[in-house]
Amino acid sequence: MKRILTDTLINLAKHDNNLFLMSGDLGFPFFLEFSKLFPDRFINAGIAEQNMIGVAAGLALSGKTVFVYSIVNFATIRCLDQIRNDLCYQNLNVKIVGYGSGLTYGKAGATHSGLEDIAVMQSLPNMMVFSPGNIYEAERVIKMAYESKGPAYIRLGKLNSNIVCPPATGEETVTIFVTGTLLNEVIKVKDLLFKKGIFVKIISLPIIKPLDVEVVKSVIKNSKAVFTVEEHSVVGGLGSSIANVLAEENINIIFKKIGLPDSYSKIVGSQDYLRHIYLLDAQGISKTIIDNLKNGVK
Amino acid sequence: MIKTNFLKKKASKVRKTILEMLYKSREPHIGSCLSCVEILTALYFDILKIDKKNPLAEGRNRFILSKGHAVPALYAILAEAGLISARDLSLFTTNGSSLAAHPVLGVLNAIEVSTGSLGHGLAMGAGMALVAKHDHKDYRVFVLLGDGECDEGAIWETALFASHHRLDNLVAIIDNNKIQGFGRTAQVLNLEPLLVKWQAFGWGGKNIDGHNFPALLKALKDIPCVKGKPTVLVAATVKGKGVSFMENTLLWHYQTLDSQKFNQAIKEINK
Repeated sequence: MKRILTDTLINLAKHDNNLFLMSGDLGFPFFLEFSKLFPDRFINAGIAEQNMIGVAAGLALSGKTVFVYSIVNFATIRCLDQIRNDLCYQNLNVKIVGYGSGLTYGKAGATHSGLEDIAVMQSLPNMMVFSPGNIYEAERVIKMAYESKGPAYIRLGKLNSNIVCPPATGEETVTIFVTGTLLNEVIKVKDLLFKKGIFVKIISLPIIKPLDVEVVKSVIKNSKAVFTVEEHSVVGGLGSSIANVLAEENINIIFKKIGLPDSYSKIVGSQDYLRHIYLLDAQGISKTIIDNLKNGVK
Repeated sequence: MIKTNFLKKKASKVRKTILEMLYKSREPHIGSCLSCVEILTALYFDILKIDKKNPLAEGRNRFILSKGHAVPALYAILAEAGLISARDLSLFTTNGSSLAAHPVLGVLNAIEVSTGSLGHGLAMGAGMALVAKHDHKDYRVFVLLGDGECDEGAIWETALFASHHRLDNLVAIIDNNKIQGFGRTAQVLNLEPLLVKWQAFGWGGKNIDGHNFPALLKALKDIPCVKGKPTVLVAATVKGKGVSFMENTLLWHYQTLDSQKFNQAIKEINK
């Protein structure tokens, strides 16, 4: 998704002289094009994320729109106090882009795993949270973040997928809400479950906050079971947000959050490998769904 | 000389206002407020030149109180400078009011930046200074830091950033009152040699007497101190300055005023 990010930002920057891009010394070489086109609007802040967010706040306080970029955890948790006080408290036009959702950097160890970022970011007042599943969603949310007032967090993954959600037929009894690049796996899940006679509706949610509660309620109207799928901890992510809707709306239904466990992985490996281990590939997700449908008494 | 006397009178009035606010509100940080009164007075009565009719004019000089806990001193100076009203001061920390014990962006059209978590103001100031450079504006950005605040790593990230980007329109003033949460700064987490550290990070700067108006005005006008570099003024100050029983004590970082102490303090300021 780095390509779509740079293309979209270059496009926006061509039409808006007030758009700045800052990086925490990451994004080589794909930010080179932006930096060559707009040398005075690309700022490599060095490996100093707290300062980067503060400077971005200062730029925004002076009328600029700023995109800041780093790896998921360094763009969010490393500089959380600056994000909270400088960006959210003051409601400034700074858009944080975190690259490396979930297990993207699976070989790098848990310092680099995007496990808690959605939970942390969506707890902040004024912060919008985006997690696109394919290149179309990525372009759309980058533009949405740009156009909306206030801070935003955009969580990007590696996959440059152009596969979109298959349309619903109306016969589905199971709804899967998915966010991020696991969309691709969930689309395979639909085929796997179809072979077992289970009809699944897939809803990709690239906008985690503000969550469109009415859409969530309406798409699950005829479902007997709801599943959430995300490459993020099961604590505080999309699954928790959907669970809140079900609880507050008194919707009594089979429900399971599918995501990463509330722990730091002791093993490393490629994203595909770890997705398999954590039952987040198509096979694993299908198995969890089948098990839960069997056990469900509702 | 005439100017110095004028500023001294203003400083005395500001000190009294601070004491009144903190007596009424029973809020702490009296010592932290009193140490930076001359710095604020010099800024607001000579350096910043803020247009009362249009205090948020685009080309204005910016002031950021990064040591946000000294906001009573800022409110007091804003009132003295006619940028907010005396009535506004009476709202300080009262129930339902927006005048918090730390600065909040936009409050009374006079606060540039929200602070309160230490170590944030300088980076935001650097961002503003960068915009001035980028947009070819000639405003300057002044940021007041506490010496204890310089413990924060984020300060030193910005110290690197500002010199790298040659932000010679950025001025950090350190209210070097040498006392922080648990006692003498030298004993809590030694910062010395402070000016030398900033210079090593690529800043120009000098040590000045933070209560001496001629020295303050000279330093604040001689910007940048070194061509092409951001400026740091390490201002030697006395915590609790102006009230004998508060001066150089840790206690008055925390203590609140009772009526007897308040009257005694006012009497000393009036002397």
